[in-house]
Amino acid sequence: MRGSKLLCALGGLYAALACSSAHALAWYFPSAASSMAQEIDHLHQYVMWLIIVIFVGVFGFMFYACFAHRKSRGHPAEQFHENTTVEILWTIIPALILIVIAWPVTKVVIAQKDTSSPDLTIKATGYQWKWGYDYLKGEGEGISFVSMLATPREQIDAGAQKDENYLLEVDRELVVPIDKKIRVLATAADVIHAWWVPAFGVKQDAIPGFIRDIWFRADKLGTFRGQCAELCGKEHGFMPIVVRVVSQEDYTKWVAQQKQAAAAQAEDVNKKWDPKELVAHGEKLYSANCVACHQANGRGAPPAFPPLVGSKVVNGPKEGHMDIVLNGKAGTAMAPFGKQLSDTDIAAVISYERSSWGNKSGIVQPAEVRARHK
Amino acid sequence: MPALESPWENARRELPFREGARGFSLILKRNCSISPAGLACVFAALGVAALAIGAGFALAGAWLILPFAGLEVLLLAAAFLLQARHATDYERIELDRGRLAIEIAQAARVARYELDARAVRVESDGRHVLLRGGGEPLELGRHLDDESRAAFAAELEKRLRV
Amino acid sequence: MSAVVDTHGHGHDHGHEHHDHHGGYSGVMRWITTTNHKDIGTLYLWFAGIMFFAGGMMALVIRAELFEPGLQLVNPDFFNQMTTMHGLIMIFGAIMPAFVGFANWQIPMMIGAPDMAFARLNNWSFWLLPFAATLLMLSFFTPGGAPGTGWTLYAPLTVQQGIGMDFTIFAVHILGMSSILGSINIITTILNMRAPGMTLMKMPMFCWTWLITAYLLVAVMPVLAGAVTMTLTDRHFGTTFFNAAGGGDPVLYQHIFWFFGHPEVYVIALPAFGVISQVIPAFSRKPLFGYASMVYATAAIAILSFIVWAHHMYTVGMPVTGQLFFMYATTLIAVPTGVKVFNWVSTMWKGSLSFETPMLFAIGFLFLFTLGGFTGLVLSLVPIDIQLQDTYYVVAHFHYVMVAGAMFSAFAGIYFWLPKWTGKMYNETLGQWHFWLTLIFFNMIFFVQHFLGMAGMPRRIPYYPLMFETWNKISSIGAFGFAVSQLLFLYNLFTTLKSGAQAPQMPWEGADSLDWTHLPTPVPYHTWETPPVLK
Repeated sequence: MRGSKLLCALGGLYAALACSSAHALAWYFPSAASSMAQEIDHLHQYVMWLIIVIFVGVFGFMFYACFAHRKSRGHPAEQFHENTTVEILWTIIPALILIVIAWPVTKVVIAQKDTSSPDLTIKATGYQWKWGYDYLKGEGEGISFVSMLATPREQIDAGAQKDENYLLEVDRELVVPIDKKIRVLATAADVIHAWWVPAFGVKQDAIPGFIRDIWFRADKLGTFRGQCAELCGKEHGFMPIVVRVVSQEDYTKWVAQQKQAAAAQAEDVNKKWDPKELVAHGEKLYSANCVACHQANGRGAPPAFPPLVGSKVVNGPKEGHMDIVLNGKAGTAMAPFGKQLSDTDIAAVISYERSSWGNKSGIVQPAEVRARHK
Repeated sequence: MPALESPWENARRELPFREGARGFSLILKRNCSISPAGLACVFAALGVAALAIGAGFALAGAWLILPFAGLEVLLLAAAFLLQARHATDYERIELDRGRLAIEIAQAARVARYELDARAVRVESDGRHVLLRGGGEPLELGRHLDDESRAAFAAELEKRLRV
Repeated sequence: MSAVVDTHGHGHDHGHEHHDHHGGYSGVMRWITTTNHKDIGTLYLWFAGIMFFAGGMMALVIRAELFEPGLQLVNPDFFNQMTTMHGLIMIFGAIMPAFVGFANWQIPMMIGAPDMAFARLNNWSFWLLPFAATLLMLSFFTPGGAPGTGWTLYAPLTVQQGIGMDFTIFAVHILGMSSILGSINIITTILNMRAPGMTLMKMPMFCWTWLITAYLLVAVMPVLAGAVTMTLTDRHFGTTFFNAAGGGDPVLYQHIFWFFGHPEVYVIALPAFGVISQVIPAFSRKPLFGYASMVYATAAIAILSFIVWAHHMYTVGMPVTGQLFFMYATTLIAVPTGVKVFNWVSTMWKGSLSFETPMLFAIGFLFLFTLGGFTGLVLSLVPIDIQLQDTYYVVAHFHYVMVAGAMFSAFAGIYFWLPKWTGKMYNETLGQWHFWLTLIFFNMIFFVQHFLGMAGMPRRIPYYPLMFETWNKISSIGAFGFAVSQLLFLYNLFTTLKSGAQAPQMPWEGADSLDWTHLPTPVPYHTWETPPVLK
C-alpha cells in the first residue's frame, strides 16, 4: 500500500535529476513517531489508492475519446445527450465509495479526540513569537519555561552557513517520556498560533482566551521538530516546536535537574546585582526576546514597532518602563513579559535598554521589579 | 447562417393582429419571462436566506451581519418592485364596427378609452405613436422596438381606414 | 476590445441608424458613462486582466523570496503583506470580475435580451471596482503598510495591523457592494428578460451557473460585510466580538469568515463550470450530456456549500460531533461534482473532437480541476487534514482549483468568445503555445507543493528549513516560467485586437447558443432589441 509514495517518487526522481541539493528530498509525511501519525499515514495511502484508480479510470475514458473520437480522424459526432440509468449509477456509486472511506476515518477521528486519562499534562502557550510550556500534572509538575528559536540571526538574514536544523532549533526543548499519554493544552497570549509536531500527527490551534486539548503518545526516542502552523504576524516562521522524547529514567533525571535550577533562580531576586553583569545578562535576553521588533540597534521599525533609542519610556521614570515590559501594551505586538520572564531577567533587559544606544537612564535591580510585579 | 439545426428564429415582424368578424383585436405586451408572483417567490427565497443567516449569527453574538442583510433585502425589494411594477403592462386595441376600444395598463392602473375609428389619426415620429382625435392624444406601441413601432403605426393607420 | 463595439448595425435586421450608439459621448467619457452590457463586460474583463497581472507580480515576489531558505529580497513583514494582497487581489480583483465580465457579455446575448435589467446600476457596479482596487493598493503606502494577516483576515491578528487594515476593510466593503449590485442585476436579467420560449431549462448552462452563483453571492455577501465591519469596530470602537478578554471569541470570526468563504469558493468555481459547459460541447460537436442533471448538480453543490464551512477549521478544537458532521457533509460534495465531471467526459465521448485553444484549456481544466477536487477529498478527512492543515498541501490544492480551475476556464472563455465579440481571430499557434506552457509551468509550480506540504512546510513563512529547498526552487522557477507564458497571451491578445485576421461567421461549428447561431460576427453594439422566438 505505498501507492502515493510511488507516485511521489516519480516526481522526486525528476527533481533529483534537475536539482543537486545536498539535502535529502522530503516529499512525504515524516516517519511516524506515534501510532496516531501511523494511522494518518495508512488512511492517506488508502484514500490515495482509491483516488488513483478512479482518476485513471475517468481520464482513461477522456483520453481515449480524445484519441479515438477526434474530428481529424473522421469520427462523426453522435447526438445522444442523456441516459438515466448511467446518470443514476454514477451518482450512487461515488456515494457508496464515500461510505467506504468514511468508516475507517471516523474511527480515527474518535480516537484522536479522546484526551481522557493522560499520564502527563502540559500547557503550551503561544506568544509572539515563542512557545511557553507549563507542566501542569504528572511527573515534573511545576516545571515551566519558554522555548524560542535558537538559530542565530546571521544564518537567517546575513547568509551565514546554515546548520542542519536551521529554523527548527530551540534554546529549550520540550522533554517528554516515551510511551506515555501526553495531553497538551494549547492556548495563546496574543494572537492565534498552532502547535504542531508532524511526527506525532498532532496539530492544535492555540487560541487566546481559550484552552483546547490534544494528545499524543510518542513511541520512538529522539528529537522531533515542527513549526507554528497558523500565521501569527511578522515572525510566524520563527517559532519552531522541538520535542525530545526520552526514556523514563532520563525523564526522571531531567525533572530533578529542572527543579534544582528553578530553586537556584528563586534566590537571585533578592541579590543586588553588579550593573555590568546585569547589563551583560540583559543583552543576551534582549537579542532573544526583543530584537525581532525593536531591532539590534534599538531603532525598531516604526510605526508598528517603536524605537527605544531616545524613547520617552526608556529614558523616563523606571516605573513606567517596568510597567510596559511587565504588562505589555494592549492592541500592539508588545507582549506582557511578566508572564514569560523571571523578575531578574526583566530587570536585566530593562537595565540593558536604559544603558545602550546612547540611553543613560540608569539600571533597575531585580528587587525593584519584584516589588512592581503584582 | 446557423451551422446546426436550431429551433430558434429571429422574431418575425408581423404584429399579432387577430382578425375578427367586424374588425380586429391586438394586444401588445412587454416581454417579461417571469410573472410578478414568480418574482415575489424568488424575492422570498433570497430574502429569507439572507435574513436567516444574519439572524443566526446575531444569536451567536455577531449581530453586525443582520443590518447588512437588511440593507441588502431592501435593495433587492426596490429592484424587484421596479421590475414587477411594469411587468403586467399591456395595450389592447380592438376595433368593432367602427368603434375603437383601447385599454392601456400601466403599473397598477388600467385606462379604457372608446373612440370613433373614423375620427382618429395615427401620428408617428419614429419614437412615439400617437392617436389623435378623441380629446387627449393617446400614446401606443410603448412595448415595441423602434422598427416594429413604425410598422405598427402604418398598419394601424391602414386598418382604421378600411 | 474597443474596436469591436464600433462596428455596428450591419446585422441583417439591426440597422437602426437613428440610434445613438455610444450614449452621446466619445473617448474616456464613453466608457465612464456607458450602460451597454457589452461595454461593461469589456471593462470588467480589462479590469480583471490588470488585476491579474498586479496579483501575479506579488506572487512573483513571494516565489522569488522562497527561492532560497533565507532572506534575499523582502523582510517577513512585507512578505506577509504580499501573501495577503496576492490573495485578495486575485480573488476579488481578478477572478470574480473576469466572470462578471463574461456574464455581462454573454447572458443577454444567450437569453435573447437587449441588455441587462438595470443598465445604469450595471455601470455603477463596475465603476465601484477601480475605487476599491485603488484603496487596496494605497494601503501599501500607509504607515505599517498593507495588512499582513493573510487574505482570511483572521482576528485577533487584525487588531495589531496599521491603518492599511482599515483601507482594506473599506475596499472589501466596496467590492462586496459591487458584487451585490451585479448579482441583483444578473438574477433579474435571467429571470425576467428571457426571450419568449426560452424556458429556464432551455437556457445555456452558463446562464444557469451564473443564476445560482448570483444567489450564493446575495446570500453570503452581507456576512463578509459584517465580518470586516466587526473587525473594524473591534479595532477602533472598543467592541470585543473577537476578543476573549471582553467576552468575545476569535474562533467566531473564523466561523463567520468561512460561512462566507466556502460559498465564495463556488462563486468562483460555478461560472467556471458554466464556461466549460459551453466550450466542451462546441468542440465535441455534440450537445451537453445530462443537461438536467448538470443543473441539479450545480444547485446541489450550492446548497451543500452552506453546510461545510468548518472544514477549514478542523484544528480549532471542535467537538468530535462537529468534526464528523462537517467531514461527512464535505465529502458529500464529491457526488454532484463527480456528476459534472462524468457529464463533461460523456459529452466528449463519441463526439467529433477538435482541439483548438479553448478546448485545450477546457480539457486542461477538466483534468487539473479534478485533481484539485481529489486533494480536496483528501483534505476533507479530519485526521489527514490535521496533518496537512495550513501547509503547502493546502496551497497546492486551492491553486489547482483557482488557477487550473477558474483561470483556465477564463482563458477558455476568452479564446472561445473573442472572435464573436471582436470579429477577429486570434493566432491559433500562439494560443496553443500559451496553453502548453501555462500547463507545464502551472504543474511545475504547484504539483511539487503537495510534497512540501506532506513533508511539513507551513504556509505563509518567508524562510524555511533546508529540507524544503529543492521543491521550493523548482516551484519558483516554474512561477517565472508561468509569468513569461502569460506575456505570450498578452501579445496574442493585442495583436489580435490590432490586426487579427477576420473571424468567420461561425469559427466554432459546434457552438449552439443563440449568440452564435443568430447574431452576426462580430456582434453589433445593440443586439436582440426584438427578442428571438422559439419556432
